[in-house]
Amino acid sequence: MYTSEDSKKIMMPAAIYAGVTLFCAVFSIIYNIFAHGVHSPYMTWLFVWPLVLGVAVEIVAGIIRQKTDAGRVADIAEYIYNSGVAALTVSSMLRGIMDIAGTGSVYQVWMLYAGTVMAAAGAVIFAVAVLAGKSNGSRKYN
Amino acid sequence: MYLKKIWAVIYAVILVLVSVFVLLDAFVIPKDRIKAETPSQSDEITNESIEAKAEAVITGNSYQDDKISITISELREYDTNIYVADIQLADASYLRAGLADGTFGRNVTEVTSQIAQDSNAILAINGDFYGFRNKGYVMRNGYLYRETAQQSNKSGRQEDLVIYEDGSMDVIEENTVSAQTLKDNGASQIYSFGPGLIKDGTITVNENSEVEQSMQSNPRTAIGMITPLHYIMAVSDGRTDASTGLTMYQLAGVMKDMGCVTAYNLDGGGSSTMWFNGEVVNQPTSYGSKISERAVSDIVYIGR
Repeated sequence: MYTSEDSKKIMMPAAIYAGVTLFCAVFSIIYNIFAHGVHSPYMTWLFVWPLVLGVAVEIVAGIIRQKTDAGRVADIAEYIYNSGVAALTVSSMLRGIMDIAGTGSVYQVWMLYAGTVMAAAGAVIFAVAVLAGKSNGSRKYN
Repeated sequence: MYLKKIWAVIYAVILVLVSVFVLLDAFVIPKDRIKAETPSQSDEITNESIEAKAEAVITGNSYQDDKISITISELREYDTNIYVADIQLADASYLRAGLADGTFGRNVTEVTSQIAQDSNAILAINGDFYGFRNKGYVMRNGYLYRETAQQSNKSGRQEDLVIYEDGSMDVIEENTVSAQTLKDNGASQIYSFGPGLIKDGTITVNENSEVEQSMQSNPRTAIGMITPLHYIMAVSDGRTDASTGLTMYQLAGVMKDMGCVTAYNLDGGGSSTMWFNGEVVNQPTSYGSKISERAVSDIVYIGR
């Protein structure tokens, strides 16, 4: 049986992402106020990245990890996934800033690609680790 | 846990460094530099320019010589100061473009007044700030610098202003005609900003179809043609207590009232600047509402 301490530990990433979501929402609101009426969806919806790919996914991942023994590999998968989400969020922020200014950069696109690859790789590795943990018949918290 | 913290710190540093580089690349680092082709800067023409200016009748708001006539008037509409230059030329070659530092390139910038002085201009307004973007046709004084078409905003239509060697103007869509074709058809200048405000005497923007930049009141810069060799350059203030600024539709209305059959929106906001005979005419705003000139890539000017 898992304890409330375990639950807190597992849900901590979702809480951090909630904080990042709040920061992104406030940042985009303030940025839009000073943008002289110019808007970019990448800035307006900046908070969606950490909200959907962060809070929502981490809650699901946390629940899964409570029920299975995904082990150390799943931890590494989460590092990679979180790094990918961070790259996607920052990339979106940069795109929003450049859109509003009326410019662009090819390097921002590469950041988007890198973030997508890392997030996808992290998710796949996590899924494999979870499935491997299940096939071993073990449960982390009993 | 320890490894996780180290990774988080290292990755955060990498992400910050990459972000700084991306922003510097977009906003600061000059690149793709090409020294401008400047046939107008020959000694002969410069001497002619000096002689013409010496013989010209110049007042605080007008210039008159045997080839060029300029009259600047100030309007007050929509709670905004608008500066309108009525220009008549004997030849289209007096309507020219100037590049910052005499160079084509990304992030190569100077203030409008500096480019105007370096170009020996009589009257100048800011151009399309082509150097802020990687794409969009750029043709200046008959030289084609960039032929890559861009997709504009939501509609996907990028409207350009084409000024031909005979002094006529037209608004075209980049994805419907190549820059080389325009050059072959006699274009001498292509500006890639927009949108077009008036085409064939009809206002082509409206209050509802345009969004974002267009709906908001801002400083604006526009150029238009009444007839070939008879032009209007207009710059509005904005973002200040004294002037709200214009929407795109209001700007089109001003150009229409001036009699333009073709008109085009150039880069606005902090870039909007009109310079005449050594002085900045309007109240340009940069960094919010601070009154100062913003460094830009290029100008449109009248000069000999």
